[in-house]
Amino acid sequence: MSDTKKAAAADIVILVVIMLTSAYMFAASGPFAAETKLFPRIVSTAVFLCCAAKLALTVRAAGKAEGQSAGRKRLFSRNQAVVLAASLLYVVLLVPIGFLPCTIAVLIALPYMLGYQRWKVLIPFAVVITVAFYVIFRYGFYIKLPAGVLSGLL
Amino acid sequence: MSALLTAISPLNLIYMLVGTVLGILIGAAPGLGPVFALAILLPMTYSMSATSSVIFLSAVYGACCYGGSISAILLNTPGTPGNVATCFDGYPMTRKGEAGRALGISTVSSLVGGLFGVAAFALLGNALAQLSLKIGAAEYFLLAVAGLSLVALAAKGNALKGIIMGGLGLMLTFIGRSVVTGDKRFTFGTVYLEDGLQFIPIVIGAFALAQALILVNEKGAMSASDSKVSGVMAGTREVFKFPVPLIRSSVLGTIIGIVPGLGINAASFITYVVEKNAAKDKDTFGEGNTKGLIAPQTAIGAVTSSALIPAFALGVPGSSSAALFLSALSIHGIQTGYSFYSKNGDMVSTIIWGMLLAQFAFAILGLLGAKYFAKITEMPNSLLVPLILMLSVVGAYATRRQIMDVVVMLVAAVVGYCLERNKFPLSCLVLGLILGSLAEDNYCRAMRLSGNSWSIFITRPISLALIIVIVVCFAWPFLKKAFGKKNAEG
Repeated sequence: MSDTKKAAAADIVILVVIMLTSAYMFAASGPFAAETKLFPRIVSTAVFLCCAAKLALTVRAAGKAEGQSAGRKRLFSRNQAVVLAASLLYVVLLVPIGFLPCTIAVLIALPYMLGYQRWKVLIPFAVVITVAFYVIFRYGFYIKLPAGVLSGLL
Repeated sequence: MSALLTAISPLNLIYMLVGTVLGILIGAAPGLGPVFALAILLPMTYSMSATSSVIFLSAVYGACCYGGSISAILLNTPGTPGNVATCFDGYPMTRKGEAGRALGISTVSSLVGGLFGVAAFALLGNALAQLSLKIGAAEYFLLAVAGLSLVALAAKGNALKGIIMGGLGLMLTFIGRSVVTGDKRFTFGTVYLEDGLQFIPIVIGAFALAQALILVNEKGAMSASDSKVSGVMAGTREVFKFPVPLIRSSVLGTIIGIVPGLGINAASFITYVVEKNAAKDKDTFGEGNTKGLIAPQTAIGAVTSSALIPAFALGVPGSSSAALFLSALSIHGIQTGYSFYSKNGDMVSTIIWGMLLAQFAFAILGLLGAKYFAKITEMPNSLLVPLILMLSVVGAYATRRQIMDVVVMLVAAVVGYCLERNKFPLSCLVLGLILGSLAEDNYCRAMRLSGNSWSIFITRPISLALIIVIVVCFAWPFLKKAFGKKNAEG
């Protein structure tokens, strides 16, 4: 697929998603009181119409673009997928396990998976940064980050 | 003279220095911001005199707003919500290896804006406060529309995508309880969404973490490890080559600052878009254009002082930050309001001198520390990306200690990455987020005040002037084209 066609395909997907969202907003605001639904309906209608116009222009431009289909480009690379998976795991485990163990694990495992393999730098870096942030937020800003499994100690 | 001598007393200078250092550190940490800084440091002022407490808090406030620009420029992570516009041209400069220059530009721009704001506070405080009284619901609504009308101009080369993103930003503000009626909208039955989507997690995700997803594909570091971080002083001198953007942003920032409720977010964005529209090289905005960094930073500096004008002169805090200043004064038994300037002559003069010196304090510390701050760009991306992830999670969590805010941050990162990759401008989405509630709330208020008559928008002089500005904003590209054709034919 030529670059123009690839960009057009991505634009079309995004525009359709936004159109569906605005259509949902319009429909879902039906039961609301008049003042409550006024702005959502105005804005969702305007967004829907703008998306429709842009969609038409994009489809027309894609139709004119030359180029043969040569396979799809991935949305996320391997490294990006690793970061996203690590982020998800980090968020899921942050409260039950705790900020200190989770963050130290992320700051060791993620750089290693991304290619940084100097353990003598990595481990102290992870521990010092994590502890420093915890102490600053806890005792400097009075923000208690999740203690998790260490809740009896912290 | 005695006021100046009081302001530079050793104790006040120490308060100023401590406030500046703390302000910069808190401002640079994403997710915290000036309201947090003022709230957490307010108890420290209990033992200070009224004058010293205002000087200390001014130093914290100004330094915090400036500090947010450091992480915005170096990591594309706005330290405070008002620094989002700083990312647009500040971060691209860092990517080009010009982090020092960007920090120099940002520091001096903030200083100039701050000095302008203090001058406005000192010389025009009362008059500007009276002007702010004339801003009612109709004017607020039209100010929001005027800001949104700049959306299409803010979008680089694709006005329709910009309008769609602005609309999407507005739609996101409708989630939660209606600002007008209090009814729940689009909450899917969850308690979390009743408060609406929070601005800070969205901005951290869409800018900081989304940028980390881009960096992770690049080997090495943002800048070479043996590169010297230079250009800080060149950046400071470069600012003065653009006097018109500097003055324009200072004036606009000051005016926006005195309008209660608009604040730093709106000021930085609106001045950025106005500057972009006025520039001949508007296509380079978003790629490291100096004016694109000068505009928001100058406006931020101006707002930090001018936002205190309605608070001190009218006793009306236009923002949470201003409310904290008023708390500090009321703790010491100082009455703000109409007679604040006339009844507290010496104290007001001392405060003004203190605010003035506080501007220089963060500028000097910022310039001295710039080359050390910029060292972070030499960190390998494989280390920097996990660090940004950790900062983003902490920043999103710190806002309300809710894990769902972190989830929103992650979703915003993925969505922001996909949108930005396909050239849907995130700046327009953020503008919609900032102005959405303001527009809806004040439209409904205006209609109630006028008995559902639209005449309220055209019978008030300031409203009428704003309508003309909006019409010109929309019509200008077409008028420009038509004049251009006529000149070419002539």
